[in-house]
Amino acid sequence: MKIKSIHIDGFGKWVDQDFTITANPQVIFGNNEAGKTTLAVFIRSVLFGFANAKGKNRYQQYKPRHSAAYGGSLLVEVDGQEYRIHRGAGKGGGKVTVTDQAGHRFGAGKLAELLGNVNQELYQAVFGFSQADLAAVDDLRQEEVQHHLQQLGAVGSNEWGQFVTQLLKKGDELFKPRGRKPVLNQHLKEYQAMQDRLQAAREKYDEYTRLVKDYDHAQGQAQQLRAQLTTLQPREERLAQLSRLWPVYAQWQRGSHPASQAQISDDQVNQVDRLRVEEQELQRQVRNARDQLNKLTGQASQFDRATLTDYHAHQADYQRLQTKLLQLQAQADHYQQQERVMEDRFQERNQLQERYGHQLPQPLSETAVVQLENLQEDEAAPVDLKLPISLAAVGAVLAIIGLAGRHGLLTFLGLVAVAGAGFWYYHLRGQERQQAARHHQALAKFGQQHGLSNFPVSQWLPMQADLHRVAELNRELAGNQEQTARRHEEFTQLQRQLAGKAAGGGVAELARNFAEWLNTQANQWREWTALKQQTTTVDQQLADLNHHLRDVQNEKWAIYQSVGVGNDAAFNHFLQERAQARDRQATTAAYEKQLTAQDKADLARFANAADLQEQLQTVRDQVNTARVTLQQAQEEAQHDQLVIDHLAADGTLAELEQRQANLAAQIWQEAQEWVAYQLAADWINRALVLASADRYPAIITAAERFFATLTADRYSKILLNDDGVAVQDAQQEQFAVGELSTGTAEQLYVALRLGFISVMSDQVALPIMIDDGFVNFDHVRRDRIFALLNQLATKNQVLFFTANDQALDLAPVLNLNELNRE
Amino acid sequence: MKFIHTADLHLASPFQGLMAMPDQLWQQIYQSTFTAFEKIVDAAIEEQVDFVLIAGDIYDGERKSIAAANFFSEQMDRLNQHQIPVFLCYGNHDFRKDPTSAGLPANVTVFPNQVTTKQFTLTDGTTVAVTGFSYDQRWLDDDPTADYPEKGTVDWQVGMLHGALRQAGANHYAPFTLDELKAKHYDYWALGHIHKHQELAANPPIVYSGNPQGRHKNEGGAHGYYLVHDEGQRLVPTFKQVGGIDWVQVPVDLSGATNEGDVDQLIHQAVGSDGDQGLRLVDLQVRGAGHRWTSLVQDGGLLDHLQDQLTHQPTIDWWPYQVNLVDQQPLPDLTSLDRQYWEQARQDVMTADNLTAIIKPLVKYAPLYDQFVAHRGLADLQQRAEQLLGERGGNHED
Repeated sequence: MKIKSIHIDGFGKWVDQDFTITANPQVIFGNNEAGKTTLAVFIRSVLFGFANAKGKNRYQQYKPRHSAAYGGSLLVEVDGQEYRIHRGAGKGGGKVTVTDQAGHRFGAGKLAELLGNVNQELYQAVFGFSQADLAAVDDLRQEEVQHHLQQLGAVGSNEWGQFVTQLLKKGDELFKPRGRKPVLNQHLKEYQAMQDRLQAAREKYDEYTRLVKDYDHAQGQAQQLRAQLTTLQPREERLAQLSRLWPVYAQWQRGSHPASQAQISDDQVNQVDRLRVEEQELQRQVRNARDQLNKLTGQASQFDRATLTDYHAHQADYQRLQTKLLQLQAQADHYQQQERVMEDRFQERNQLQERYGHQLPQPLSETAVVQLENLQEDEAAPVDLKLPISLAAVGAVLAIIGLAGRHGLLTFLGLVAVAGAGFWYYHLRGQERQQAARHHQALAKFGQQHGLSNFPVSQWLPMQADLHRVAELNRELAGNQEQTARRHEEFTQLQRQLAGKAAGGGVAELARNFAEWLNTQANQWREWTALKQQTTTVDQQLADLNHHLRDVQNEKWAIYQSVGVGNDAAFNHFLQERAQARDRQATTAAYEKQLTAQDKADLARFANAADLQEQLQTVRDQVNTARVTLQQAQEEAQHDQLVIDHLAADGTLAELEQRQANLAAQIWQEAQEWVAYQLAADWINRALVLASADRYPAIITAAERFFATLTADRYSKILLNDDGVAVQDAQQEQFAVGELSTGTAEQLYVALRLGFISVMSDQVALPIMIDDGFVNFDHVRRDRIFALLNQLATKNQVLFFTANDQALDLAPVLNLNELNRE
Repeated sequence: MKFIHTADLHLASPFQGLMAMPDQLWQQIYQSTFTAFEKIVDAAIEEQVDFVLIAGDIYDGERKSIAAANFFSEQMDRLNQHQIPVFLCYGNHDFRKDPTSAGLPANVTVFPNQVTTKQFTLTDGTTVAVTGFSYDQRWLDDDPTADYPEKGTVDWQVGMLHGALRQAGANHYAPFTLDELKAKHYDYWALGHIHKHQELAANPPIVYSGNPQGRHKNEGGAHGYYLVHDEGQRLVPTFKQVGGIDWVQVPVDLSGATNEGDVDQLIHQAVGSDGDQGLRLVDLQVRGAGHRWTSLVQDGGLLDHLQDQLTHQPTIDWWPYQVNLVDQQPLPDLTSLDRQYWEQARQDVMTADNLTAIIKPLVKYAPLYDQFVAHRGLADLQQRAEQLLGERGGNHED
C-alpha cells in the first residue's frame, strides 16, 4: 500500500486540508505544534479506526474544535489500483467507506482486505519505531541487550519481552524455589505444619484402639461373670435354705436315733426330791450347830485359862493377902495423921537450926555448964585508966593557961604533965592485953571441946535450952522415920507378891486394884464354868444331827447309784436329759414333716452344720467376688465408652483434614497458575526465538547495510553465532555485543530493527511511518539516516515525521510549517 | 432373598478441591459420608434385608479417624440389633494385615487377607455363600480371581471383590477380567473401588456400587447403593440413590451480560433451584465472558463475589467451588504474522518433559506430587497458558 494523497475533513487542528505525498521517502517536517503528530495519527486512524472515547484515548480522538466535520480520506494505491479510504464519525472506530476507481463503495471488510488483515497493534509492532524503542535499549543491561537483539526477529518482541517479564514476576509473587514469602511457598509451609498437626491428631487413634480393646475385654468379662452368677446365685440360695433347715434336720436326725438311758420311776424321783429337801434341812441345822459351837469355842478362847486355874488353886492365899493389905492400909491411914505432927516438929527443928545458922551441937552436960560458968567469972577484973586520963587533962589545962598567960613554966609544967599521963596510960593498957589473952585461950579450948566454936561465947549458955529442944525433936523425927520405913518394906513385899495381878503406887490403890482383880477373877470363873456346860450340850446335838444326815444321804445315793450317777449335778443332768428325751420324742415327728426327701438327701451330704456353713460361705464369697468384679468390669466398660464417645465427638481431626484438603486445593490452584505462567513465558520466549532464528539471515543481510551506513562502514558484518549476535569490522575482527560501546550497540539495534522492518515489509506492504525516531543523531549522521530511509524506501513507502530542521536539506520535504503559514 | 451391596464408604474423608467453605456448610460436608451410610443402614433395616455386603474402603485411611471407626461400629450395632449379618472386606484405602472383627458386633464377618468363602443359611433355609478377601497392603498387583473357587453347592453364591478391571499399563488394584469373573458361575459380583456406580455385566450382574457420597468434582452424578433381590434363578440389582451432597457442573453464558447485575442474574438462573435435593457443589462453566468478564473470572473475583454473596444468605443450597472459562481463548493478533513459530513453540513447550522440568521445584511437596501425577495431561495447563496470552491480547485491545 502506498499513500498518494491525504484529505482531512476535520481532525485536530487540520480542517479541510490536503496533503500530497510526492516522494519516497517522504520527509514530513514541522516544528512542535505544527500538526505533525496529528497528521501521523490521522493516517493511522483512517487505516485502523478512531480511538474510542474511553479514558486517556479521548485525547487520541482529535475531534476538531472549530468544525463539525470529523475524519477525512486517504488516496492509496494497492496492487496498482487506487482506492479512496474515507473514515468519518461513527461507532466502533468510525464509519469507513472504501471507493475504488470505478466508484464502487465498500465497507470495513474491504479495508481489512487492503490492509492484509493487519490491525493497528500488529502494524505498530512491525513498523512502530520511535524514540521510546531506543530508550528501552538504553535501559537494558549488556546481557539483556544480547537477548533483546536475539529476539528482534519476532513481531512485537518488545511487548512480548515485557509481558514475559510480567508473567515471571507474577510467577515469582506466587512461588519461588527456596523462597519464603511468596503465597505458594507460605501455603506449602502451612500445609506441612498442618500435616504435623494431623499426624498428632491421628495418633489418638492408637488410644482409641486400645480403649476399644479394653472395652471389649471388660464387656466379655462382664458377660462371663453374669453367666457365672446365674449358676452361683441359685446354688447360694439353696445352700442358704439348707443352712436354715439344718437345725430341723439335726433335731430330726437326733430324734430318729434316741440315746439309751437308765430308767427310773417317777416315785423314785419324788423320793429323791424329798430326801434332798430333808438333807438340805439337816445340813442347815448341822451348819447352825457348828456355828454355835464355833462361837462357844471362840468365846472360851477369850478366857485366860492359866490365870483362871491359878486363881482357882490359890484362892485362900489371895484372901490372906487381901487381909494383910487391908491392915497395912489402916496403918497407913493412921500414920498419915501422925505425919502432920512430924511435919510440925520438923519445921520447929529447922527453925531452931536456922536461927543459929550452923549445925547445932549436942547440949552441954551439967558438969560442963559449971565449968563454963567458972571460966566466965575469971574474966571480970579490968585495969583502971582514969588517973592517967585525969592527969593528961590537968596538964592540958596548965599548958593552955601557960600559953595564954605567957607563963612559960606553967606551960612547961602543963606539957610535962600531959606527956607523963600518956606514958602512964600506955603502960596500963599493956597489962590489960596480957590478961585478956590468957582468958581467951581457955574459952577457945572449951568451945572446941563442945563444938561451940562457931557460936559467940556469950550465947553458950543461953542456947542450951534450944539445944535440948532440938535434940528432943531429932529423936522424935528419927522414930517416925523408922516406922515409915518398916511400912514401906511391907508394902513393897506385897507389891511383889501381887505383881501380874494388881499394881498400885500406893497401898490404897493397890488394895483397890487387887480387890477389883479378885472380883474379876471370881466373875470370870463363873462365866467360864457356864460356858463349859453349854459347849457340852451343843456337842451332843451336833453328833445327833450328823448321824441323821448320813442316813438321809445314804438313802439318796442308793437311788443315784441305780441310774449310774454319783452326785446331785449329774442326777440333775440325768433328769434334764430324761425330760428332753421325752420332749424330743414328741417333736421329732413334727420335724420330720418339715423336711422333704430332697432336703434330707442334700443335707445328708454335709458332715455337720459347720461343713454346710463353710460351703455356703465359700459360695457366698464366690458370688460376692463375682459381683464386685462384674461391677468393676461394668464401670470400666462405662468409662471406656465415655472416653470413646468423647474421642469420637472430637472433630479436630476431621476439621484439620478438611482444612488440609482445602489448603491442598488452594495450593493446587496456585501451582497450576504458577506452572501456567512458566509455560506461557516459555512459550513466548520459544516463539520469539524461533521467529528470530528463522528470519535472522534475512534481517542480518538487510541490517548489515544499515549498520555499515550508520557506522560509516566501520563495521561490515553482523554475525549470529551460538553465543548470540556479534559484529565484524573492516579488519575482520569480531566483537561481541558486550564489547561494543553503548552508542554502537544502539546503532546495531537500529540496524537490526530496520532490517526486521525491511524483511517484514514483504509480508506487510504498508507505509512505514517513522515518528521522529532519530532525534538525537548528530548532523554527521543525518545523511546516513536519509540513506537508511532511502534503503528502506526501496520496498515500502516511507513517511518520516521529524522536527529536526536538518531534515529540511533533504528534498523533497512536506513542510507543515509552511502549510500553516498559508 | 434380599441384600444390600455397598462399598467405598470413605467415612470421614474430607472433600477435595473446595478451597474455602462457610461455617454453615462445614458440618453438613463433614457429616455427609456418615449420613450417606446411615441412610443405607436405615434402608437395610426397613427393607429387612438378609445381609449387607460392604466391598472395601470403609475408611479413607488405614487408621486415622476415631469418629469413623466409632460411627461404623455403632451402625453395625444397629444392624446387629435387627439380626442383619454384615460381610465386609477392606480395600486399598483401609487395608490391614490379618483383620479381625474386634470392636465390631457379632453380626459382622470380616474377610481375611486370603480369599475365603463364608457359607450360611437364611431363616427360610436358603443357603448362601459369600467369597471375598481383604487387602493387606495398598497395592495388589496380582489377579486374585484364581483364588476364588467356582460356585459350590449352595443356592446363591456372591463374589465380593475390591479392585479394577485389568487395563493397559500398571494395575495396582487386584486386576481382573469379566471373563474370569463369569467363569466362576457366581450369581452376583459385588465390586468396590470404582466410585461411579455401574453394572459391568448383567448375567450374572457384575456391579460397582460406587461410593454413597461423592467427595470431589470427579465424583459427580448419582450416588447410592444396590438393593439386590432374587427373581427365579437370577439375582437382580436395583440402584437406589441416596440424597447427599452433589457435585455438579453448571454452564452459564455471560455473553448477554452488560453489567455485574446481569452476571449475577445469569448465574443464578443457570444454577436454578434444586428443590429440597440438598446441597450442590457447583463448578461454573462460563462461556461468552468476552473481554469484559474474562479477567473477572480469571482473577477469582467472580468466585469470591458469589461465595461472599451466598455466605450471607440464611440457607445455602448451592456453593460454587470453582468458576472456569470454557471459551477457547484466541491468541492475540500479534501472533498472526508469526503463527507458524507460535505453533512450533507451543509444540516444543507443551511437552511432558518440559512440564517435568518446570514443576521440578514443586513436585517434592506432598500435596502437589499427587496432583501432578493425577493431572498428567497438559490440556488444563496449556489452556491456562493460552488464556494468559489471550488475556494479554485483550488488554491491548481495550
